[in-house]
Amino acid sequence: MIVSYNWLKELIKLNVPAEKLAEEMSLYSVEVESFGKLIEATNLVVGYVKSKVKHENSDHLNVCMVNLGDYDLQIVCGAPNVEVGQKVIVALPGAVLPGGTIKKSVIRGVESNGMICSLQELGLESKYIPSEFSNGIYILKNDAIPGSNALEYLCLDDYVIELGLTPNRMDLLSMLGVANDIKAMYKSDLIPLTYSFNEIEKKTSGELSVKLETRNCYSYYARIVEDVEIKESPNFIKARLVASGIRPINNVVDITNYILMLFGQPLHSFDKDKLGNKIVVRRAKVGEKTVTLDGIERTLNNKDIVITDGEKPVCIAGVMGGQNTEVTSETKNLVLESAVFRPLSIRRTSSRLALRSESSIRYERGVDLNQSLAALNYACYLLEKYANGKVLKGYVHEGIEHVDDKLIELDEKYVESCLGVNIPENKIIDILESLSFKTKKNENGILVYVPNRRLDISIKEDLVEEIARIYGYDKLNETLPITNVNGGLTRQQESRRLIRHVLSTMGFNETMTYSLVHPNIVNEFLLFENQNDETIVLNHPMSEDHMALRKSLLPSLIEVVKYNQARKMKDNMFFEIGKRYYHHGEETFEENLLSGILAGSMPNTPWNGEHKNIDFFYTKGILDLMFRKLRLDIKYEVMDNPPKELHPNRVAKILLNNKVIGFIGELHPKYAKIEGIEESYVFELFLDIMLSEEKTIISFASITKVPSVDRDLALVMDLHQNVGEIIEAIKRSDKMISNIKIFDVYIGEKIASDKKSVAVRITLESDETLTEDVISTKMRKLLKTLEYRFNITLRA
Amino acid sequence: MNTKLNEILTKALEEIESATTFLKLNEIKAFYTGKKSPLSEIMRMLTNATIEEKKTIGAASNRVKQQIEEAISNKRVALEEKEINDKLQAEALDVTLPGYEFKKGSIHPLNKTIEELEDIFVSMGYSIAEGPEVEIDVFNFEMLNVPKGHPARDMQDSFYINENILMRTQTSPVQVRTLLEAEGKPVKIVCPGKVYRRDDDDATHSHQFMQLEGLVVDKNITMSDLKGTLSVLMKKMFGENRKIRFKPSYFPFTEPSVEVDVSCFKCGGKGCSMCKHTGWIEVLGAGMVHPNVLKGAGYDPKVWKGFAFGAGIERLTMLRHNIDDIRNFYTNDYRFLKQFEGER
Repeated sequence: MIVSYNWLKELIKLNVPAEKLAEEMSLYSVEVESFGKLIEATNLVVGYVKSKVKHENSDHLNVCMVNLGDYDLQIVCGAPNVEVGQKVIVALPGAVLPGGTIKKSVIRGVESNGMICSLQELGLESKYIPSEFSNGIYILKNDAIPGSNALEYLCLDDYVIELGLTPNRMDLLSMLGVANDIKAMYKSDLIPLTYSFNEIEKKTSGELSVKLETRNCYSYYARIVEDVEIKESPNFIKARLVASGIRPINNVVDITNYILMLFGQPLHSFDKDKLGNKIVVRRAKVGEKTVTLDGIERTLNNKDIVITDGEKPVCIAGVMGGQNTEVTSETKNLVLESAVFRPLSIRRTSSRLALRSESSIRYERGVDLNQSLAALNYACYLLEKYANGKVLKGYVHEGIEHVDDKLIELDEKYVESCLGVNIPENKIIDILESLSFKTKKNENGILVYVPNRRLDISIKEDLVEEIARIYGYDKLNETLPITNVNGGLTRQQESRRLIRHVLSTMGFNETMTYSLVHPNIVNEFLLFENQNDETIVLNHPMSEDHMALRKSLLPSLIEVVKYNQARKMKDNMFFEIGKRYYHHGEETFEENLLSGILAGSMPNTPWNGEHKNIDFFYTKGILDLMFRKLRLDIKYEVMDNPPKELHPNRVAKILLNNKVIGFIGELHPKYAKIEGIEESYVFELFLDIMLSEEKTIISFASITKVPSVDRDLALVMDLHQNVGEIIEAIKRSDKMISNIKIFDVYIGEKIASDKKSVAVRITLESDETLTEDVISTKMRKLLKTLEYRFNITLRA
Repeated sequence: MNTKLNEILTKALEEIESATTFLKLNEIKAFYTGKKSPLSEIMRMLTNATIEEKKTIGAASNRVKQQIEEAISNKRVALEEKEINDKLQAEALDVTLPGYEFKKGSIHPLNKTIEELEDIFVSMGYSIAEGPEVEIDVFNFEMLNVPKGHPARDMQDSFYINENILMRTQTSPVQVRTLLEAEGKPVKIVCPGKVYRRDDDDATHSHQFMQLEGLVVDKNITMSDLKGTLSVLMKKMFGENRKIRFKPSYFPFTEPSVEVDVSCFKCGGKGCSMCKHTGWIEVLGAGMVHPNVLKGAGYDPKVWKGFAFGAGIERLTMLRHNIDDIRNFYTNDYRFLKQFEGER
């Protein structure tokens, strides 16, 4: 809704400058989105073209003598349509136009003291300019007085305040509504609308019948105006419409739009001779077709409301008129409709047909049917005055005639309990009365009569809001709530933070990528057991790239690596905590994942040290550190059916309490090549399972006073033997074994080709000094076990 | 004899003085204090002397020996000192060369903002609530006082999955879920999370973004409590001198509803390009929980009141860090992310 400041001043006594009004409306009424002058140009006066002589050095310029009341000015003009006898807009030297400042100048040897202007040159958008003036100067009517202010004459010396639309304040979709709110802000008075017109003998009811066949039409008024003269509107109507952002067309269309802006009541005019003498409002039939004013054939359904002539649709109610009854320059007689329809119905139709208009916007939010007749009558007054129309006697009406005020009870205490400040009862009443709500005191407090104009107000809290905003939110206290609850993070929330901090400290950058991805990548990196998780797909995606909900974060992380590597950033360590989403039948699942990707050189290598590339064990080491921090006893196992995007022999599943919680692996070289990225390592962990376990508090284990003993063993085993298993076996073999460290794996000529030698340092700890005898016995026993279980021998 | 002793002493001291290595020093020591040393020689020459003479010379010889040993010991210390000094000299470092790099990663700026907000609220006794992103229409709209066909649904065009399920358009459904779970007990939560709307991605719009929503429900909650709470929040986020103001607004699930401005933290309210010369920056939406929402969740609005607020995490983060394009958050350019490795 764009509000004209000048128009407001016709409706309310207002001493506040436009800019201050705009600022304060934001604080007390509704958000102001923009404020400014309607036309920024200055120094514009009305001129009379006294003479026109062809410029001797040009074939398209004319030298004009222009009278400005007290004096004449010579102006060189290039417009094709300038003629002697015209009243024109002259920009005087010093005038600031959007295109620059006007100066006295010499044009091809001839002095020019200003500029005769087109409307475009004043900064008016071309959609508001009549087509006959689209390529030349604007010609004023003869009543313009030379030397007077041209913008004033055109009623364009105005300020415009654009209000932010909220869906509730339908009352602010009219100038009268806005005036009423401003009245409450400044405790000022409205200026009553005065209008009257003559009615001819002929009765509307004799010429037209109205029948409502659907309850979705609440009220339908119609009047007939005959013998209208279709022409240009007077300046003030055109200017008010331009200020409101509506293109002036002709007097009849402009008047209906003027009423729309003034009352918030959409009007529709039919050519009576095309319509006939019958109006039936009904639901459209399924598949029924009609051509709207824009020339497009629309297919309707039975949720749409149509105005018909008893047979065919002549208008899609509240949305757009039909071509078959359109008012044209030939039109003589009008049927004017002032109706109110069910908001939801209009909303459905306008959104289905993608037809949103000033009318549908208002109908969707609700129109006050108590004002429909006044709006219709005001239109008749304007049509008589500016279109020489003859208004037929009376009107026809069907539906609800009047909606009574809503009654809401309120008291001072209640207002205080909501706001936390006390506003005395008489102050509350003052505010409500200033909003034009009638009030009555009773034993319980205040009885408030809310007019139908304020459809948004139906409960006490709505009134509290009205009171609070007019009273001023700046007068609220600043207190903190007194509540009997405690807060804090849950353990899972703490752990997630911990992970974030551990990984970022280890050199990872945390990313944030989109949950909605291309359906082609949605099945990548799925564990064998997750391959039946059904993808969730949007029913109306905006693009294929964001169509499906992801089931793994890794494709997104690969995108991030791809992006960065393409920009010469080769060392990549990224992680993300995000969700995976899937259906199982009717049920929807969301699970938190922790995923990471590593590529390039290892961080934390000294600058004078040897640079090594990130590998599988580096990645695993970081995870181990994180698991230790989280006190999770994790196991890695060989994966039988790894996702095909991973290197089949460099991948492990990660287990917690024998449950798979994720995987770690190298990206399949083929996959990496297709994606165009370097050798990369990835992991993905199911965070919710990982963090689901309740944890005991750390319990201190006493420290032995006896020094520990190390024994190094070179164990020769089958080449394909998993060392993890061996470590596990050694660990379990003796309680005294406190640590096992692998320090070399040898494969080569010095041992059999189907064997490898693994160097292990075993640390033993005991409360008593370990004698050589005890240690040797233990080692012999261990070796025997290893030999028996894994065919391991000690390297010679 | 004394002359002889003095000669020995002088010579020994000279030799000690000129020694430059431990080896030489050891040789000197062996020569002057060993069995064949000149001092022993003198003692041997005394076989025929009187006891008195032996005593005197013996004592003098011992003094000389002591002096020599002391000199050797001092020299040893000096040599050790020199050796260390030479070593230190040789070990000189260019201390301006860089330290070994411990590459620090970073937490995503959006999550940093969320953590900071969470900490502020946790310090005031709030819990952190979470909820699904694939949400049912009932929780995302209907129980928030936005029935089907309500014009407010236009404000946020949604990604539907089917008629009843959609990507949540706001974190507000978590309010409903939390209230239903609390079963009539007081609630004091904030819920951060991802939300989705049908917007074309550009410098200021993103089809996926993050919100943080707060909800307090108890028997005596007022709008002044809301103002006080948000005032604390803004002071902690943007500085002690910040002020806030409320402006009338509309959200279907709050009544009254307000937009919340914070006084510009760049110009202090005088007006600058940051605040578009108004002195104020819009940062939040808030209001008192609508009775229909309370009622729907089983709270009698005659007894219970509440306030709620919601902030866009991207907007707050962009304002605080002077980021001009929302897409930066989702592109994950290393050069962007690494700028957030430090605190605040």
